[in-house]
Amino acid sequence: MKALHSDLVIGLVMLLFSIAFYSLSAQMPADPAVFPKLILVTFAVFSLFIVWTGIAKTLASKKQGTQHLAVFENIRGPIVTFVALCIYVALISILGFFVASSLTAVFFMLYFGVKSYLQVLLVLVIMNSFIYMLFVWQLRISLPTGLLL
Amino acid sequence: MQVDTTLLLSVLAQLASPDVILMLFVGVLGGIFLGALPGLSATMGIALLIPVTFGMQPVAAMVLLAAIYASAVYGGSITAILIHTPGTPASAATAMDGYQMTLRGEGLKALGTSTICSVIGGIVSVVALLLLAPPLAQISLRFSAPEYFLIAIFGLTIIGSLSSGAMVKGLSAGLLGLLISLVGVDVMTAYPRFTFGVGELESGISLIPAMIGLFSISQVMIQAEKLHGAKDLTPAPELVGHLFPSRAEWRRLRGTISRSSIIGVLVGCLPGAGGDVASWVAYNEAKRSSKNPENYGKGEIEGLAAAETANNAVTGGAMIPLLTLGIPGSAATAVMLGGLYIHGLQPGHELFTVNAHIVYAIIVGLLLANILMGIVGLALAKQVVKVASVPFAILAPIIVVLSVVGSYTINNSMFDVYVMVAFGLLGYLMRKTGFATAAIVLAMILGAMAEIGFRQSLVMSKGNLLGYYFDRPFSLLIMGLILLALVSPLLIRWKRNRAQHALSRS
Repeated sequence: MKALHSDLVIGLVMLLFSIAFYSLSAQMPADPAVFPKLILVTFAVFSLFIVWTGIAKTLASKKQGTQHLAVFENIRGPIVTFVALCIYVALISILGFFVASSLTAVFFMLYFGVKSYLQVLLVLVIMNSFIYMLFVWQLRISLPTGLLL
Repeated sequence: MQVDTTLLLSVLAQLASPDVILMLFVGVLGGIFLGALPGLSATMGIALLIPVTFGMQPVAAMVLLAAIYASAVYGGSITAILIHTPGTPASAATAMDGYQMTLRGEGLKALGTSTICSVIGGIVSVVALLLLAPPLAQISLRFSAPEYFLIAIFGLTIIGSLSSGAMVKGLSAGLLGLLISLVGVDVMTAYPRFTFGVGELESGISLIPAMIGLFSISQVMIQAEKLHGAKDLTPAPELVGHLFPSRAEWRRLRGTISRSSIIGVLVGCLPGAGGDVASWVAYNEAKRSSKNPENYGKGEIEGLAAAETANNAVTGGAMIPLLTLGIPGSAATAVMLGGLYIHGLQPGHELFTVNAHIVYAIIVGLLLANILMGIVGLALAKQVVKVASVPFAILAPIIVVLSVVGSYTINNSMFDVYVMVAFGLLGYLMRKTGFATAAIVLAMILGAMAEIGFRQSLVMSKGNLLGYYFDRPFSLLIMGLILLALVSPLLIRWKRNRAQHALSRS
């Protein structure tokens, strides 16, 4: 992968996406399919252009011997963030909104380097009270409850 | 201009309501802090707050969003001046001379100048909005299906081609947004498109969760890349000296402020070009016409005034195409367009006739927000800098939790939360690879208008689509504008390269 420029990879993904969705549009009745087909054909043309520029960039940087997917170098933090977000969302139905949110907030603060437990506690109290007062009291939203709360 | 007394009274009555006054204060304060915090943006704040505005009257809701938009631009300048950390890209030019003034012991004067120039820029832009928007909105009366289709395409072309360096990527992001807008039951035939049997998808993908994911979650992920190696912010220096410039300095600044206000409004009107472009253009113009261009970058008060006036003058300017044609001038106004639709306000002629009492209240609210921003800014600048040093490690979990609760609130549905998560990942990947996320949002909003316009004009053209489009003067005009939007970035790049080439030869 490192030998390819990110544009080349994205262009190919876009091309596959447009082919897949065009075949889905082809199964629709003619009238609702007109606009999706028009967009997907244009999208495919643009993706070919991005593939082409990706090839040019890959060749150019091969000459210079540089890395190509450098944009995704420091990916650990974002991956941890995203996985934690997914677990958080899954936990909401099990533990309820407030418990799941508090656990996630504590995890994020510790992971991102907050050292003072007092700060963690303060953030939890302020955040939960703010959400409770605004969304539950004021806007009367019934936030998901789980096994615990 | 004849003033409609009933309308004026209705506008004033709405603005005097406690809800609106409260939202004005919350918006101004929140916007200033949001702008000052590096890593947070007005766009993100507006996206997160739209769900909160659900239960409010449209005027209170839109005044809150508009006040955040205007104040965030100004808030970004406070940290740019005092600690050389522009809170928003629009304040990068401000940091050039503002921070040098601070180092020279004129930090207080730099703050005072920045505040007054921001207020003047903001007020000029709101006056331009008040004068230009109503006649421009009239034009939309002449629009029919073909024009609506073309206007949607124009908006996408412009935001796609200008908001990111790579035009094809910007346009592709727009097309992806159009595809996303097609998900759900087709309004004309009731055929479910791209729903894959998922019931929740039949009503389409909700805009707000998508926006929250694209702007807030992606921002947290981007910040997560550098959180471990994060440096502490430079401590703010002691503020001493005069708050306001001397009379002689004011005389010198008058021309710069006037010119930069006009530049800001004009750049703001250009869909796709935001406060950052305006402040650099105004800064360069001020430098070009200055008697002492060599002082720029070394603490020249004129440079600071130019950048500050222009970036705030963009705010009202960007609302002109937003309110008249539904084409936002920047990512922040694209999100505000979502806010307008959610409160049942359709940009165009109707907004200035049927809903005139609402839209004028929003515009005058923006004017008041600019004035309040100046007062609050002068009073709280030092505290703002302290808040700006709140680490992102504390802000990140709050943003994540608010993103989840905000997305859930729209329909009381966990499905919207899943949508937000998916769009968060999409937004991160797009931003890392140079695709404009604002283009997706805009396309999701304009998608229905584009499709209905296109399909209706297919029927109306009776088989001769091209002939039909070329026969209509307004269609021709918009097609010309689309062509201009596509060609002008190439021309600008060509001109800049030629100038750089000439410079390097000399």
